[in-house]
Amino acid sequence: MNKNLQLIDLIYPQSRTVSIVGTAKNAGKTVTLNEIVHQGEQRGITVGLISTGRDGERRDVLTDTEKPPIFVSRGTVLATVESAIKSDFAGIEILRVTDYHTPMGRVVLGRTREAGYVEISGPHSSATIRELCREMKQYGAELILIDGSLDRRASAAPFVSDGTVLATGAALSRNMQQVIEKTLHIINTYAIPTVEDENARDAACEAFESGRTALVEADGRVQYLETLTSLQCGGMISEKLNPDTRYVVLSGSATVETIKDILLNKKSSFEIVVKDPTRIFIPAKDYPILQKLGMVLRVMENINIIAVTVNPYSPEGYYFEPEELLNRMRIAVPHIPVYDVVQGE
Amino acid sequence: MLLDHRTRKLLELDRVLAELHPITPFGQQVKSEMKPYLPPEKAELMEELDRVEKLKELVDTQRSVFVEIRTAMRQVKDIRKSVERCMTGCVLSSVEFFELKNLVYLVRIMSESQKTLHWAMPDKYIIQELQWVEEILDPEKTGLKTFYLYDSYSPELYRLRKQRAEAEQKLDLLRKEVIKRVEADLEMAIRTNGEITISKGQTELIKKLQGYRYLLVINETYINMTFRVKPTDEMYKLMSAIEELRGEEAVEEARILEQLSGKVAVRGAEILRTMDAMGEFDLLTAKAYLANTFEAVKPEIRDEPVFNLKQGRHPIVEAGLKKRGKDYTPINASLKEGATLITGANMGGKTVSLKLLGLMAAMAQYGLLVPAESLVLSMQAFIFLSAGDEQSIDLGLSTFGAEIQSIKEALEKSDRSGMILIDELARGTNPQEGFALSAAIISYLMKKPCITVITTHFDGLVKPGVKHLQVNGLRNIDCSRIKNPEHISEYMDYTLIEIEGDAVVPRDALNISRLMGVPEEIVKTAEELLGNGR
Repeated sequence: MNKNLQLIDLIYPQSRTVSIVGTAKNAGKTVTLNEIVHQGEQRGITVGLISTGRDGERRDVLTDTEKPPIFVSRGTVLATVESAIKSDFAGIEILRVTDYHTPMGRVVLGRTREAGYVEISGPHSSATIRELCREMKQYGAELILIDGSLDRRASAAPFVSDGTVLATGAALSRNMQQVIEKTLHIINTYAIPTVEDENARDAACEAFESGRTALVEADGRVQYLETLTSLQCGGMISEKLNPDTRYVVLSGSATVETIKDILLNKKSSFEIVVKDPTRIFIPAKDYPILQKLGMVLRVMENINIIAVTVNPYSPEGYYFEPEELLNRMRIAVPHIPVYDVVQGE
Repeated sequence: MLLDHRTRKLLELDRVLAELHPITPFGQQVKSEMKPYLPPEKAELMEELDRVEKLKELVDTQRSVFVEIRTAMRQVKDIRKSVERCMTGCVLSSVEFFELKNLVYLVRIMSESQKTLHWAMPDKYIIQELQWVEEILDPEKTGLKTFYLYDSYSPELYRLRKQRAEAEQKLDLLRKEVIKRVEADLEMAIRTNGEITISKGQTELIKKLQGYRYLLVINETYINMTFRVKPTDEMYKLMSAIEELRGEEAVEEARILEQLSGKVAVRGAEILRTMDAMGEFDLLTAKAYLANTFEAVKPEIRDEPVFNLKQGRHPIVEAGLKKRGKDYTPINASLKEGATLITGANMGGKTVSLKLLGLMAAMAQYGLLVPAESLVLSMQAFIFLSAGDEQSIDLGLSTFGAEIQSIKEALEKSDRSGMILIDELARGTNPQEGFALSAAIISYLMKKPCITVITTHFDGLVKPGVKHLQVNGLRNIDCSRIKNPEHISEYMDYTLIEIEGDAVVPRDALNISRLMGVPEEIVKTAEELLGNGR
């Protein structure tokens, strides 16, 4: 990897909407976000900021004891909340007051009139986030950064953002090897191959649209099933499997239970298709078992991981040797650039 | 009260009103408070109907103006709470000023459009421009919809911000200078945030940096030590000056918000009035649009008790038929005080026609145009409908008990000018007693000042002084041509015709039973029992 390449060079202008997702609380997401904002501003890019709703991570702001952690320059477009438009933060020109409510007031689109700290906010649903991203672009934002909350990796979904920067670090585990393995698992899940067969893709689109399950057979015949809750859909799907089944399209989530139900009843080999990797909820430890049962997972669209950032510090008071963590992560994911934004490398 | 809850439900008035779509929160509120006009308010009702008719005509001729107004209306938010709060002396927030500024902008669009309408509208509907608010909230006259406490709000704010910006710029320069000097002294690169992290393995270097006067230790772990470039005295001075300025700026901003709030509060009532006018105009426009959808006309209001309907249509039933690709047969009916009977074939739409009469009267008194070719009517003090109704039966009354209960209520009202509609009088008891009771009730009501309409199957209730309307029904149809019971409605003539003198109630029950597939044996037997094997 070219050592002189900065994070921003990997992001812009190839991607215009990028989500920053943390593998754990305090994995370094905010540092990463600040760094990208800073690098973007130095290149003269108008940045837009939005978050996938508060997740209580920054309780300090609720009690008004600390400044919000993102520092931006004048002219930044952002989604913030009513209560954060006050004199101790950067002055914000209000562009539009939206109808999305948060515990901190309504979500407001604004533009900073001076450099300073800002509070980023946003609606919960990914469809509305996408809508607001479009609007921020109209207000002049050239690069939109989505601050993805822990429990809302959906912001990484390909239909919301063009790519994702994954922030990971010591906060994920006390054991460095585990940090690397867990991170690798997320990366591998995000990179699951897409389904190629056109016929299966058409059926999948139809299934996602109507919220049904689709079974595609070798001759192209498609059977749609009304599967109301994904919790019990495994059993329903199992009954319909036959020796010609080639694809099972799940419109909901891929959970261990559902997939087990399906695989234990398989009468042929087939691929299981979900919309995108954010719909996959399979812990690393269950993967090998499911693979032995014959699981072949495919997605309609996978997630473009632009870079990984590592944070060697944990707020619980332990650290890893920064160089070692960085190097081992680079070896583990040779195809993705890895940065230590805390150390500035 | 014009309508009791049950009548309102049976007439499906709420479903008609649900088709009335005001756009703004104010219009929706005015709609929710809508009340029918009562006889003493005849003049007001006539004015209202004139206005709706006028607006309906304008919607046709100046549609683009309405499109513009309604587009603006869709963006309006209810900020009455903010304005009211402001008027009690509270200070509004930046977000509230933004919303007010937006409202003013939308008001201007609506007001300008309204002025182009060819109508000398009453004050109540005029959306007054709030030019003065615009002057307060857009001192630079930028025409932008955004809000910020711009520097131009006060010279003091401008001065404070300028000073702070200058101080910040100077501080930034000094910081860069110091970093540069440190980098030169140490021959090491320092990060842009002025920090440098050194591994503890480099003990010599750490010792050196700890002794260096321009660096501070800010963080230490068992692996690393992080230093930050120490600000100079001049920088510290600037930093505290910036904090000071920030504080003064916050005070000045609060002062400006208070001042703006005060200016708005003084004339807050004008803003509230504008929102009220918007609500009134919104609802009136919605009524005009509804009249267009229903192809409705203005009813003519008379003093003497009269009800003359030409080609009236029940809008809800009509819409339902239209969905299934069928047409609604318009109904004529001319009623007067005293009793009118509607007789006719089963499945001939007697009940729907009865409800239509009540609905027309109710719509007119709610200030709505009516779906008909024409309607001349007097205003009613009440409209009362007694018809098959599950609710009373739920209360533990039998079918007959429930009916008699409601008819008793109607009779109590019959001395006032009103409308009493009874579906299938005395349907719930034996024919002999039912007939006698019906005849007695008709005799009683025919002398009363209210307009009574009763549907019945009984023969012989018509007598001099009682008007008689009959459903045309299957009269002119050869029943053997109808092969499928679902086609009955296609051959059914729902028209009401006025019958003079004696007339028997048409006998279609057996024909229809046969069409619907009741075994021939039974229908035959029934015909033999009637002794008229037709």
